[in-house]
Parts: sequence; C-alpha cells; structure tokens
Amino acid sequence: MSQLTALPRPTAKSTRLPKRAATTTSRPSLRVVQHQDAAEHSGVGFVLLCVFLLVGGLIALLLLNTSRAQQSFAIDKLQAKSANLTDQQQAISSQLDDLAAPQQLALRAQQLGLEPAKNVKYVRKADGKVLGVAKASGAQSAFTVGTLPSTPASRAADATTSAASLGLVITKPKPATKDPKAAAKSDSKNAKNAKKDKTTSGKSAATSPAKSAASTKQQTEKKTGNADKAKATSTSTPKPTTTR
Amino acid sequence: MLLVATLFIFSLFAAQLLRIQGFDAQSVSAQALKSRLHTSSVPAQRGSIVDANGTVLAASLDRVNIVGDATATVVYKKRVDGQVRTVGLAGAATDIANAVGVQPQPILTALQQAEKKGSQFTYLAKNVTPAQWKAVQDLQIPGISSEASSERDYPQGTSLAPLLGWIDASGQPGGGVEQLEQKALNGKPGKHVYEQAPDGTTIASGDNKDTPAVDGKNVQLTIDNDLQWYSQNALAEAVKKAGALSGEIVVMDPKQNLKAVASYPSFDNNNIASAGSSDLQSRPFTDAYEPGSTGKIITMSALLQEGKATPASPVVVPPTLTRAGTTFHDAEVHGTENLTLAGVLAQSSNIGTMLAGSKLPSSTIYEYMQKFGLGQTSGIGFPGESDGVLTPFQKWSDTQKYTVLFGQGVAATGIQEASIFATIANGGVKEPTKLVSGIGTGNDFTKPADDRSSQRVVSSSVATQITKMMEGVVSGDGTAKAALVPGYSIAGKTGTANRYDPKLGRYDGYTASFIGFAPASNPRYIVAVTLQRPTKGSIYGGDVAAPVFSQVMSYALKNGGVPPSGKQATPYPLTFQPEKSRKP
Repeated sequence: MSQLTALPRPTAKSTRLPKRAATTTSRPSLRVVQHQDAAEHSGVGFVLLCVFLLVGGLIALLLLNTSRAQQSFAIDKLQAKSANLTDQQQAISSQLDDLAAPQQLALRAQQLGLEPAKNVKYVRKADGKVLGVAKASGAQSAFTVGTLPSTPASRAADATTSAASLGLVITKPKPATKDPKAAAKSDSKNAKNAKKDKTTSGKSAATSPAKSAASTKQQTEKKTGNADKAKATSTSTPKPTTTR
Repeated sequence: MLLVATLFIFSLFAAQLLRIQGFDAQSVSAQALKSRLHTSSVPAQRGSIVDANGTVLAASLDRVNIVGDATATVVYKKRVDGQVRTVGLAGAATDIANAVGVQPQPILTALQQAEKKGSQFTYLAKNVTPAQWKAVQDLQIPGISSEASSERDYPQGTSLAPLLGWIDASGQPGGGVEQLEQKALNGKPGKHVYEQAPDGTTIASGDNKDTPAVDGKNVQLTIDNDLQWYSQNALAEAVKKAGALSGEIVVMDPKQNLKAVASYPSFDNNNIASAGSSDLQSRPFTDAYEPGSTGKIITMSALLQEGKATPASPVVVPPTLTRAGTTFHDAEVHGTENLTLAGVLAQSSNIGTMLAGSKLPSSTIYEYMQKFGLGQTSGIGFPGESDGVLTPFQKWSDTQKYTVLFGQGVAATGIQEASIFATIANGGVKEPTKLVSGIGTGNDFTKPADDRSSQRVVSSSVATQITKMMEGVVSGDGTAKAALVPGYSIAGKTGTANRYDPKLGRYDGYTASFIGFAPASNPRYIVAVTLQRPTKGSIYGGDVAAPVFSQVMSYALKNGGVPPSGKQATPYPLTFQPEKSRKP
C-alpha cells in the first residue's frame, strides 16, 4: 500500500523543479491537474502487477512447501524401505551364517550319505610325483556331530518365526537329525547311514528336554555375575610334594 | 470516558505484545521449541567377530522389544464383522500374538496384570525381528510401542562359545573375546533430534540435528573356524568315549597364532540360560593342571642347551629310585634299563629324567621353565586367564626338586603347554601367543598394538635335536604310535600326570595328554590334546589323547594344504650297549 501512495511523488517533484528555475525567468501559469492527467498516473497496471506478484508469490510458496512436504514423505517412505531391506539383508545373511556353519554342513553331508576323506594323496606339479598315503573312506572314517547345542528349542523357534515373517523358506533348523524317522526315510537305501543317524539323534533327543527345563532366567544372572569369581577358583593349586 | 477506557485497554494489549515479542521473546520461543523438540537415541551396532578367513563367528542383529501401556490398550477398537467393537486387552493380545507368531496367553496375562496395577509400561515381547514389529505396528493398537534392542548371534554355537564368551540381557559382555575386545567391539550410540507436531509426525521444515551413532569395530581372530569345529567335534567324541571329565585342544602355528581353542563340555552362547556354570570358561586359558611328562621337554632342552648331555648320553635306569625319602617308579614295571637320553624321552622314564636332570641345579631348571613361559600368562589378556602355578625354586620341597623335572609339582595351562612345543617347532624362538589378528571396520583390519616380543629360549641346533628326540616318541619303540599321521613326520610327547582335584583337595585320577607338531622337518601346526580324568579304558596319553591328535593333525594338514613330508626320521638310538659306552 505504501508503495502505491508514494508513487505520485516523483511527478510532484519534477513539477516543482522547473518552478524554482522559473523564478528568475518567466513563471508558468499554474493549473489544476485534470482528471485525465491523474488517470495516467493512477497505476492500475502497477496494482495489477503487485497483485500478480503477491498471488504468484503465495502460490509459489505453497507449491514449494507442498513439494517439500511431499519430498519429506518420499524420504520417510524410502527410509522405511531402506530399513526394511536392511532388516531383510541382516536376517538373510544371519541365516546364511547359521547354515554355513561347519556343523550344519557336516550334518547335511551326513544326511546325503557323504563321508569325510580320511587321507588324501597329492600330486607334485613339478615332477608329477604322487605324495602321501591315501586310504579309502569307510565306516571307520565317518564322524558323528557332537557339537549341537543340547537345547535347540528357543533358537530353532526364533529362526522359524523370523523366516516366516519374511516369507522365506528355510531348511529345518538344527538339530537337523532330530527326527529319526525322517532321517531313516531319506536314507532308506543306505541302511548303514540310517542306523548311524538314529544313534546320534537318539542322544540329542534324550538330553534336550532335561536341560531345557532347567533353563531359567535366574540362572543366567547368577552365572554372569559370578563368572569371574568362578574362574579364579577353578585354577588349581597343586600340592607339590605328592607324586607317585 | 469511553475513549479513555479504550485507550487503557489497548495500551494493556500493547504492553503485553511488547513483553512477549520484545523482552521475553527468547524464553518464550525457547519454550515453544522445547515442546516440539524430541530426541531419540540411535543405537550403535556392536562389531562382529570373524575368523582368519572372514567367517562370521559373532554378529549383532537388530531386534525390537514390544512395550505396552495397558491403560491405553483397554479401549482397543476393531472392526469385527463390519461393526466397530471394543475388543480390549484380549483382542490386542490375540492380534499381537498372531503378528509375532507366539502364544497369546503370556501377552494377555502381562497386559491384565499391568492394567490392575495401573502400570503404563510392560514388556509384551522381547527381541522380535523388525519385520515382526512392523506387523504389530500395522495393527495400530493404542498404547503399543517399541524399544530398539539387539541380539547377538553366534552361528558356530557350542564349537566356539567358551572362547567367544556371550552377551547378557543388559548388553554387557560375559567372558571370552566379547569381554577381551569390549573396547573395540562396543559402539557409541548417536542422537536424533527433531521437531514433532502434536500428532506425532515430524515437522518437515523444523530443526533436525543428527549425531550419528558410531558402530563398534569388527575383530578378526587368528582362529580357523573349520579347524576349530573339527577339533571341538573330535574332542567331544573323545571325552565321551574316554568317560573323561573334560577335555581341551589347542592348535597353533610355530609363530603361535592360535588356530583352534577347543574346550569340552561347552555351552550354547545363543541360549546362555541353558549353560552349565562350569562350562563357560575356555579351559585352555583358565584351567591350570600338572602337565606330567610333556614337561620333560623343558628338562631335556635345558640339559642340551647347558651342554650337560647329548641325545645319545647313556642313562642307566634302575627299577625304582629313592630320593628325599620318596621312592619313585616308572609307569611300567621294568628291570634295570640302559637307555640313551633320547630313549628316556621316547619311553617317558621318570627315573631316567630325574637321573639326567639332577645334573642341573634347581635355579637353572626354574630359569628355563620361566623362559618357556610357565608361571606367566600369555599376555593376550584373556578374561580369567591363569598363569599356572610355578613356585620359586628356593621354595621347592626336596621331592619337588625332582618332580618338576617330569612335570609334576608345577601347573600350566593348555596354552602354556602348546607354547613350549611351538618354541621348539620355531627353532627355539618363543613368539608371543596371538589370538586377535586385526581390528577394523568392514573387511579392513589393522594389526592391534602388541608390546610383547619374541625371545630365543634354546639354540636352533638344540631345537632340532629335541625335535628328532620327539620323533622317537612316535616311533615303533615310543609311547605314542597312535599319534602318527600317514605320510607326515610327527614330533611329540605323551603326558600322563596325576591330576590334582581342587574340589577334593587331593590327587584324583589322571591327566592324559599328547602334544606334538608336524611336519617334524618343517613344522606347520602344533596340536595339544588334553583329557582330564579319563575313566573308560586306558588312562595313558598315548592311548587316549594321541589318536585325537592324529585326527586333528591330519585334518589341519589337509585343510592347510601341507604337502606330505615323508616318513619319520630315523630316531636316535634309544638304548646303548653298556660295554661300548663305558667311559675310559
């Protein structure tokens, strides 16, 4: 508004200037500003320009804010997606680590009827000489997997639920030979292997319920607290005099 | 009048305006900002532990704890059969349980108890996956929120648990590498500061300030995961077969990089609640025991290094020997034998070792024991590591002066024992034992600072002689033929010691061990197998531990791609003809 009112001033000034100069020479006659003259300077175009700028500015601001908000939503969406993908990646790579553990591979190999190579021969590249002693693998070279946790319940359940929530298909969690029937069925042709699986699975099944029943939270706390002290007492101080 | 009143009121407005906008402007705007600003903690991820080949041994996974405000959840409304109904706590519990995939009853009980007490904070489910939480979040149940958490995953389970340790419920490390490298593994949580609208959405144009979380560093161990599992598995079978109390296997290279540290019985560090308290420790580090005949290596090394004997030195071994009022026997009853020093070691004669070793003063024996690393920890700083028991020679009793010569009356850990053999395998130079090979981010590891240095204990020619004497142990006349690995030359020593039981306060049962390295000519691996108190079958290291050594060593050599080195070297003569060697 102030711009609009201020505008006519320069015209007033310009009319005044020649007036001062004219004091020495001839004084022009004053006249009342006609309506037509005033109309020339009333600035309708200018008002329109201002209104246009104002409205334009507001619209621009609105658009900018809208797009900013929109981008913020887009960022949120992408961040959520990224987090989701990170979670998936983490879950899958953790599953891979679990499945790639040597004991899991050994169990799978055992199920497929594979046996570890006992001794291998080497061929020296330089002269083609065969080095070492090789023996055929047989019943004696087979091993049992004795490193399975005796309480697989919680871990197995966790793996299954996380897999289910991700819509993934995973192979049966450990212990893989828990079900003697399944092991026997898969290896029905190889009677020897089936027998072996049965013996290992029998053992793990026998030990698991007793231990899992004993697992209480208090035990953990007690353990973690006393771990260091337990160590200190576990080192023996032998009586040096006794011998045989 | 009206004008005055109007002016008065307006002047009040003006004054207030001036106060708010002028004088108190700062504090008022600060107050406003404070009501919008929210801070959330950005959890830092704990570093992973990987083996020498980069296999993941321990990793942290993002988890979420589901938290409930029962007083808000009571009004849970849901569209059932086209009608909006209040389903309350029971409905919420069922929906959450379905989304997570657990039984609804424990959740319902927790909610009901919380409501009774008017509690606004109850854990409904702990350590669910982010995906499970998202399913719960999508239900939009009032009063249900989340809390960031994390879970430690140990893919190798029992095979490495005692060595790695565990993380307890409060996120603190318990034992093992987790505790040893806590400083490197533990990250620093960050902060996310943002402006929030009353409805909980973030104000896009508001102030955002982030202090990013600093994740923990990854730690790489010298351990070979495959060898570790193989050792653990072989150990588990051997302990069960021998009816032993416990067992341990240490595998290292001559530079004393630990390749496997197995301890059985073990536990599952994924499920620490199920662990037995005596199984939490990594026995090769924490348990000291009297090594027995494997300790003869120190006596033999000292004798050769001090020039008091050679491998061919004659030793006339009587059936029994009385010293300091105690009569000593050998493991097997025998008549008077004419053994060489090599023969004394090969047949593991206590009497022979006493006779030969008594040429050295106690101070010298003690000095060599210290040089070989007895009586001090490895310097790794492993939690609870024992330094063994080595009393100063001035305090040795009269019998102890003799028993220390064959490894009784002195206690050592599995790591210390393996280190003695590694020193011989390394040409007489003792390298510091190493477990952590690098610390860094991603796969970019830098070697940790180490102020320990290598030290020469015996000359390389003595080391070669001792090696050849130990090859005699595994030969036809030695005590440990079962330790042989076809195609490779093996040097090693059996040990069958009286086992001191700290619980009983007396000697009870035996410690059976075999420690050796291969190939003898160019050693690549040192394997130490120890079984405590074997009860089924034999109690001798040569029968109980040597076969396990053979299994683990042959796998280690195969796994390491070590070409066959050929047969055992022809051993030193183990006996002598009395006429020939009689001194003029």
